[in-house]
Amino acid sequence: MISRRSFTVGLAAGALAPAAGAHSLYPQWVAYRRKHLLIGCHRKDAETFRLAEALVAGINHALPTAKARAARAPHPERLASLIGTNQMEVAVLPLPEALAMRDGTGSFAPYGKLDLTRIATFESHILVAEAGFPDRHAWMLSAAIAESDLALSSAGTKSLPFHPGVIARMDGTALGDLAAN
Amino acid sequence: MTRTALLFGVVALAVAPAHADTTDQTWMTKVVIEKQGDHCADDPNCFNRYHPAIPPVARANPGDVIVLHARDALDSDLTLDSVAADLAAVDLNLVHPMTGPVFIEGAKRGDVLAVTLMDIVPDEYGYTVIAPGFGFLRDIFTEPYVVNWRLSRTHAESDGMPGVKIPYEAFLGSVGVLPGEEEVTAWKAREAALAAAGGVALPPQPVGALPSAVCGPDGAHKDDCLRTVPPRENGGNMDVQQMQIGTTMLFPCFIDGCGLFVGDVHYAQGDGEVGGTAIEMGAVVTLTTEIRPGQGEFVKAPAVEGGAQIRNMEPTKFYQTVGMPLKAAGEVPPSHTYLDAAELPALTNLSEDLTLAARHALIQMIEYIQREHGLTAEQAYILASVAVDLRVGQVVDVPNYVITAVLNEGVFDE
Repeated sequence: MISRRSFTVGLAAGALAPAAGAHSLYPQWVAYRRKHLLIGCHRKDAETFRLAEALVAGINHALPTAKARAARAPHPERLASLIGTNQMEVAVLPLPEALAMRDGTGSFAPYGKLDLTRIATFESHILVAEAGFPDRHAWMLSAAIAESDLALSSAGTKSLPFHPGVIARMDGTALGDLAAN
Repeated sequence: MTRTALLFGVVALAVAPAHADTTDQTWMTKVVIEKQGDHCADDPNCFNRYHPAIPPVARANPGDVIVLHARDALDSDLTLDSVAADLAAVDLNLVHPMTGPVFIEGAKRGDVLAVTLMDIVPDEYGYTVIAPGFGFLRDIFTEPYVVNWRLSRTHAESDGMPGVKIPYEAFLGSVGVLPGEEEVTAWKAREAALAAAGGVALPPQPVGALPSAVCGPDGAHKDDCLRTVPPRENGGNMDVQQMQIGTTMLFPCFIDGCGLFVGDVHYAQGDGEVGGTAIEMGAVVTLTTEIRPGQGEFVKAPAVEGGAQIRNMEPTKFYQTVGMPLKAAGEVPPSHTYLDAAELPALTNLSEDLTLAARHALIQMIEYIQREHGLTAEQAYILASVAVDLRVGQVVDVPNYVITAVLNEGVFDE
């Protein structure tokens, strides 16, 4: 079983950085986004929502204190905006879209380049995280997904590198050996 | 066809251009400001911050009929099938998209602009949401929730609120005029002082601010563009449901031309808008204006002139809870946390406190709706936001001032 306490404590310590300052009109909205692991998806690609909900179920089963929730944006550009302004860190996307978002090309140009990494690969989609996502969280998230019955794939792994925390887990590094970041 | 019938037909065709109907007879001088693009960011007629440097998008004379196409409060992409997951991805920096500003010819600082609301044509879709961190009971309702409404000119109904029909009582959640330079300076300072004291006041936020040339990250006044959430002396987000069609709203004019705007249209709302949102929608708004020269000396904040509108909104049957400033030991409502009073948690009765009395009345009402009408707590909170009126009972019987919550029981009629 994954260490649930350490994951929750890590999230509470600021894995999801607040989008607003200390004096926010929406303090609990910020708290909500810190309290829950939000899995971004969008309405332009229905499969992202289906996968996000499957991920939420799998993650919450293996790691209930993550309190994962799907967050469905109207379009992928909104996800780029949310990730780029530290309002969201994790999203499920088709691989070409993830690459364009990372490179800030096409419709993502207004949001600039994003430092995206890979958490998991599915048939046609991938789960990405912003590079600032802590190694320990990436380790636990990938472990929770591996425990689920979601079909993982190894296709296309070179185009978007794995998050260091995921690599550490695949290399057999124990969670306790990862530095807190 | 008989010869006679053919003859009448020919005669009718001959006169049709002159007397076919009344459509071609017009007298209004209309100024129409339409939406462009999907969102405020795509629309040169839309802005979401206040500053006197925001340029007018149209000019109108007093007496002209001004038609403004307005967007919903969140500038959202919500739809009839939206779910709570859609709320988690809302960008709060986009609140509120306003249509305008309109330069009223002849108006100048020190005048009053009288705005008569002539009509509101609702979109066919509206929504009411619980947004985490927003709303009067934000400490109790912490998860996102959405009710999607089908709207017509008679009532709103929703699969998410079975057995309920909300009557059409539309008004402008936000309407007002632009502030002047000195108002921006004064209001920004007083809100900064409040924030420093721990109060809830949001400073200018250039991210997502429109128009970007004035208020955006590289805008000429990016640090002085005021947020639209709090109502101020220029009007704005007042959310006063009595400002119905037919009423006249008065605004002190702070800049030449006043800079009239509308937005955040509500299909219906209870007094209090307790959940944080009404039935939110886009709409086509029609109004006209009049200048009252020099009256700004007396009308220093918005006021309303009306007739039977208030009476017509009253329920024909109701249930009313009575709230007093009572609370549980240890409880500190979110509205009181900034006071940092050491005595507050232990007290179970506060003195002359209308906010706590409102909370007491509302919680009783939500429990009543759940118990008597079988709705969930979230549905009851949403219903209270759109069909329960918080009213002041009295402000004299110390220490227990009274707020009541009045439910329009008519919403449950088939």
